[in-house]
Amino acid sequence: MSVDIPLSGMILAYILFFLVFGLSQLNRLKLTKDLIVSTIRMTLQLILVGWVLVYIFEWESPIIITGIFLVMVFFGAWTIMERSGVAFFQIFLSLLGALLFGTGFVLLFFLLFIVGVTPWYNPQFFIPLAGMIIGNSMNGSTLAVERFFTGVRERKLEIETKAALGANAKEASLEIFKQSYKAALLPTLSSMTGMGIVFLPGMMTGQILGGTPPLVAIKYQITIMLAILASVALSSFMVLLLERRFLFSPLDLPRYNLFKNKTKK
Amino acid sequence: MSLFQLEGVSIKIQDQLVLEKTDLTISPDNIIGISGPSGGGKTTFLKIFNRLWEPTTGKVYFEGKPLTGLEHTLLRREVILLFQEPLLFGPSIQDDLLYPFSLSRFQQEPPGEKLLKKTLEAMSLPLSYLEKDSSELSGGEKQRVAIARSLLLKPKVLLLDEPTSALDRDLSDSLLDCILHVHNPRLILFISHDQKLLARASSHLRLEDHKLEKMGV
Repeated sequence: MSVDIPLSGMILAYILFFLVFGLSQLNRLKLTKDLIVSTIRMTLQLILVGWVLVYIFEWESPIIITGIFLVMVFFGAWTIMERSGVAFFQIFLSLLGALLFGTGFVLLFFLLFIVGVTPWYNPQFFIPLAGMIIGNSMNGSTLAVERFFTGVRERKLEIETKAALGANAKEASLEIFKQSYKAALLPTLSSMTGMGIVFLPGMMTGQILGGTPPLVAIKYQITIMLAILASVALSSFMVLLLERRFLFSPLDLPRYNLFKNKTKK
Repeated sequence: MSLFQLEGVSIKIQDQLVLEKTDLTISPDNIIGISGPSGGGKTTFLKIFNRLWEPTTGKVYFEGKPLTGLEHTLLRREVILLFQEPLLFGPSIQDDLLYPFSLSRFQQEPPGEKLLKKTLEAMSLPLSYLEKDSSELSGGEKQRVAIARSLLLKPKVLLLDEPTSALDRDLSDSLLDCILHVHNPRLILFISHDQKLLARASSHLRLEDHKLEKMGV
């Protein structure tokens, strides 16, 4: 059984916002602008997406669904580039390719073989699952990209010392690669560890609130978490492979000119 | 035949001229010292011999072949550069010494216990250090391990950047003898401000005002 939230309830929810606003003012956090902008953006974006989803659910077209997926991946890749502070066109293309493959493969596998949705482009399943998979892969890949870039920039001596002993780019940056990859996977792994004990995951909570029996909801949650983990792992790995290829020259040395004036955001 | 030949080599770092167009021939069986003011580009000059840096213009030949035609990772095993700041990868000293042999593309047999012992002894390091954690070592000890690591590869050419900067006086004075005791490369090219060490060189080059000048020894 699904219970709709009345308009009065929606308005009351904003009382919670004023609570945060008051605390921010009290502690002189200078967060007023951020708080207002974030809340307005969140409200408008979700209203807009709600309306868009209503139409998408009605159309149920594979072309539109694929188009939406591509737009989500495009903005995902763009966001990674912006948040990691590693703004190069080639990195953007690498991110696009890695996200497209990593999330696309896992998403289709999940829809076709785990849930067995027909048709595969059923928007009720495709859109929310794509959002969760792309969102998590985006967060993981951002960490991977940023850590690897910073590592190569800051560990120049280690890379050159290894290169001077005959190591190629892969061998010279192996430790940085491993650390970046671990950094990409850790948030998902931590979230999996605390799930069910420390917190109830958002999707499962939403399903239960929407009337799905808890035992069905946990099956969805378990499978989606495994899909998210796979997608984060695949996307981050591919992103790192492509980033390494871009950051190192054919002489297996960092392209130092790329690191000039590039500081972490 | 010359071991290295530089033809019209110039080096620029971020539009800053380090070396004007220079021709140089280096014969084998030599020990060459390089000196010059700090920040003058001596390290970068050393790097062009194993393609850790590319000259802005000109060509470098090694054993008559242009460096650009040689596989760079193989070249770097034959022409090894040791940095001023020694870096060990750990966790143990043994791991460090064997690191170059773990790079799978090179089918080079890891050194036997006899050679390991001889190399460590030459660098005044006890054999018990093999199991030691590299983070426990002093700067001088790290430098000695780094030198030993390079010597185990039996390079044709050894490029040393300020090799005695962290060493004590006794070992600084005998460094070249210690190296030659373990392995006799065809060329040792080192950067140093240490007059005693420079006096041991068969030739002395000075890099100053973008020019490489041959000094009397």
